[in-house]
Amino acid sequence: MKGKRSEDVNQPQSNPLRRKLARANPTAPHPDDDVLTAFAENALVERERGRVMEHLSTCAECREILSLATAAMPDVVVQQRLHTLPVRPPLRTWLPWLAAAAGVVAVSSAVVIHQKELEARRQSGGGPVMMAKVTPPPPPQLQQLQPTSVPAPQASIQQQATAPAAKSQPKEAAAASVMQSQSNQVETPTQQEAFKKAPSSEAKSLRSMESQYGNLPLNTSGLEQQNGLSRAQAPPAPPPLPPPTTAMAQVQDAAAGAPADTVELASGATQVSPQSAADSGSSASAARMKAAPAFHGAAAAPAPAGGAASGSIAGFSAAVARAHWRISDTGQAQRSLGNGAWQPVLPDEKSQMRVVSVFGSDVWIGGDNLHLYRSQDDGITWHLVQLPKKAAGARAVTHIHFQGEQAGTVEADNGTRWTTVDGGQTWK
Amino acid sequence: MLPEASPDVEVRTAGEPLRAAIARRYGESGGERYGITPERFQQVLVAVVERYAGEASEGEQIDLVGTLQVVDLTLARACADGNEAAWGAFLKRFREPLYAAAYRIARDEATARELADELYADLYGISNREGHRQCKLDHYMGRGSLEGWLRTVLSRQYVDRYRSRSREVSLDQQLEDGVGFVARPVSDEKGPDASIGTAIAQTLAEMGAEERFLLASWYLDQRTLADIGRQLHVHGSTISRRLDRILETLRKHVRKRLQAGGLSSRACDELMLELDVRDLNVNVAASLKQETPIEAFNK
Repeated sequence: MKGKRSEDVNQPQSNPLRRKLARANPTAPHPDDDVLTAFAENALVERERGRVMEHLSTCAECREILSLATAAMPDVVVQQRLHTLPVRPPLRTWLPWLAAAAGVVAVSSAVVIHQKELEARRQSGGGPVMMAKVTPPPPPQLQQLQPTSVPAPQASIQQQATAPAAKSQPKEAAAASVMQSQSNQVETPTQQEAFKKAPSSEAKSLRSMESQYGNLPLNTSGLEQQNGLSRAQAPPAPPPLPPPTTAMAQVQDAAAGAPADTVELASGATQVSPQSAADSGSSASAARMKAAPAFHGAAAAPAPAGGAASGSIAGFSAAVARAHWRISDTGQAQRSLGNGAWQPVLPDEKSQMRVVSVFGSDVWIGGDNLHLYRSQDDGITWHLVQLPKKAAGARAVTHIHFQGEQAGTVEADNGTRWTTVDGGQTWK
Repeated sequence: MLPEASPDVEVRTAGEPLRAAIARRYGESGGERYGITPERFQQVLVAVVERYAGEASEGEQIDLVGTLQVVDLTLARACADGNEAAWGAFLKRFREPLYAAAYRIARDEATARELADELYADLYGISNREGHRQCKLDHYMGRGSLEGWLRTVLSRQYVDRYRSRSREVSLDQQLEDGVGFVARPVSDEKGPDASIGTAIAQTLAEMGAEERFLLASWYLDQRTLADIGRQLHVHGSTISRRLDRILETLRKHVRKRLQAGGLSSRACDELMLELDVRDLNVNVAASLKQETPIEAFNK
């Protein structure tokens, strides 16, 4: 970051920009200590603040005093003041609201579909009201592999529903008979269609809503075991699901084309497996979901590519609030969700972290031993990025500068630089 | 001691709404604990309003009264008046923070202690010929917190101290530092960078104050992103993004000006990107020097 600017403008002692900046004349009398203090504490009204800023832009002495005074603030005060203003650009403040609105729309549309279904059944004579469990039917050629004694697949829909009256649809009816024989539950074709067509964005919205309400069913134990790393603040993992039998696994693998969403609409709780997003396409959100641990341990961290090996650190928290970042005095990367509590995001990292760079939900953290971590989801999951070896003597990552999600530069303490144009997959 | 408004002036300048606003704040100031009467409180606040918003409308004056740190202000005035209870409270609240702030500024325990002790002496005050004690706390006006004001005063004191000490460097030290071998600088207005210098100056003049502040802090004062961020109450990464944008804008505008001045696109590129520092005849010391005399501090 600084290295780039040094290269561009910060030429040794003869830069025209610096010369012109230094020649600026103070336009007004120096503000007194009271006004400077109020400026440092953000206690001036906008007009007065503008006047002081105008003076500061031309007066090196006042800038010096302001800098010393703010540097003398206790860390606690600094953090409190940093929290008074948004860290991110104001444009992105609508994102959480958009996510919440999308979640509300998704839930309400599901409710409307459900009510219409009930109404349609009432009009057609109506059946007994019972618990319904809907499972997407496997492809016809695999139906014979489905053992009747195996528990229901994870991709299922549970909700209050009436029994279906549409016996004229043989495919759904066949699947319904299988399920009915297992658990005395009946599928509803309309619901099944609705959830088949549910786009991954809705699934993500449901997931974010669930995160908000602290009912996140993601299982991190798979990746924790894989990497030998875990986060202290990670919530306890849900009890492991029974492993699928071979036949079941075959069915699931072969039925990759079928929707694998796990959506439960019971007593207001909504669950969406990240696998659905991972399967749904190659979008960034899908990749993000892939990075997060999934049910059955099916989804893993992105594979290393282009000579840049990547490891993963599992761990998450229900991060819906805007995240704030800092490197503590002890060199620990910490995150706060705006409630004033700072939690380490890399508790198992022994090296001291030195720099954190945030670009949207992309967070990069670098530190000693050239350790470089990346999170694409505001710090929910982390990946250790290995920088290719260059000149000897590089000990710590000191600067990280990204112009976007993909292109950026990392600089070490001895000036060695690595550049990526593909989000850290490869480095030059 | 600052001239504060006399009761006559107060009656003349402070309207009823302003006086009511001041009276409302007396309750929360805790002035009665230190013997500050409502009249004295009114006098102090009217002086503050006169100083900072004397020409402003009454509404703005009332707003200013609402933003004042009245608890700290009454404590400071009570200390200046020599109230023992106030001094006890002051030392209890600010002794440790003051030494801690001095240490953060000086980064040396001995210097920090000297700085803090010197400030304590100024705060306690000395008696003048008329027997009236002059106390630095009289200068505190309650715009920011008293602790913040003490930090600012300490910082100013440290800068003054550094400047006065820097003149005491011996000739040997100067020779060691190479000061004795400085060549006579040549004029910086000649050479290939004259046009780009003019373009930069014009572009800077059009920029906003905050943008120029950021540029000066980063390129001239060599502050860190975190340091600038602390001053503006934003994160260092926000400063980084802003600097990127400002630099981009600056480049664009300078390029436009160069082209408007008759340079071809290629010549602009050469001038902006391949500017060889060896071609620049710059008197660095003169450039970095403040060209206008610094006016007396407004205190």
